[in-house]
Amino acid sequence: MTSCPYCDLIQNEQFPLLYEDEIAVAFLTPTPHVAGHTIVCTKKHISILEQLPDDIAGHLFDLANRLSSIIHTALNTDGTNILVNNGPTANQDVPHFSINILPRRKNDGYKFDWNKRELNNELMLEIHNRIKTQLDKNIKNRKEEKEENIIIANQNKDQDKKQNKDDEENYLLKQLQRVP
Amino acid sequence: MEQKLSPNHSPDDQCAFCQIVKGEFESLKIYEDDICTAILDIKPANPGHVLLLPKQHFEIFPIIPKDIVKHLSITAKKISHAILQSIKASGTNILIANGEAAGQASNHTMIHIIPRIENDKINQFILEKNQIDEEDQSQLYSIISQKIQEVFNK
Repeated sequence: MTSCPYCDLIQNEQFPLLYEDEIAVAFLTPTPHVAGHTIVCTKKHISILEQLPDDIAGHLFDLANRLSSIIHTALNTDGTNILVNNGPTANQDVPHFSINILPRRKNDGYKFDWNKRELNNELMLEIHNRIKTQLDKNIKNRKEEKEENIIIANQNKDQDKKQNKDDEENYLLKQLQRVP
Repeated sequence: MEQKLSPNHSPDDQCAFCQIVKGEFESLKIYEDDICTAILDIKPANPGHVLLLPKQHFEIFPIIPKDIVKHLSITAKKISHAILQSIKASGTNILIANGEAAGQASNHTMIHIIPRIENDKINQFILEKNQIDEEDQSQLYSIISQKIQEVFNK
């Protein structure tokens, strides 16, 4: 038994899955917030959003999106929510990254009625500057990293080519040396 | 599904978010590319609350084509990460609301990325765990999995 309830559930096949592919699973949570509350997560243990590789993030959200539509039709809901709680401060209660699909009904008593705050201009601009600067920096770094990897890959290719050429020459020389 | 879920039907040229995307309304943009635009919510749940919008007008998320959904998710991930690195936040909530009953407030669909800090008094994301009758759960499983089979085996 692992220390992760979702890993346990997946490994031990505790109850039937709604969906499964090579990367992800979907299942009805045994402790639903609302009826039909579905979890989409990776088979592999990944804790938070930042640890998800991009292609897997895309795969999971696309899957959750498609399933939300199917669940809407199957249960004749009035709406659906797709929700990620990323980190304990964000109310993540299982340490395994997951996307929640929540079937909704009019007047089901669950509201996203958070207090809409008024922040002064200065604070808004400060936050704008910080987030934008960080995002730009991260994107630039990733781009440079990618380009560096391409250069290294090309260098390796060239080296391989050279090695092949050397091998070929040696082979030819050996052939020549055999001629009486 | 569109008819049932859309909170209101206003043509694209009256959509405030389309206007923001086109630059016709002011906004605090933190990111933009060919497919999406991200802005700060001016009435945020917490400082740094971001709205990530597809540039194209889609009323709900399920009708968005796969490649755009993937692009939006990857962008949301990048934004969440940048928020955690740059402002006082130790977690993020990512929320999509399809339909008025689900809290959809605009008919231009979007992803909310909400920074969280300890004791911030936001309790809307606490997913209370409820008990459910085994029989009821079984029934739900049958209905949903049948529909999934139908759709995925087409």
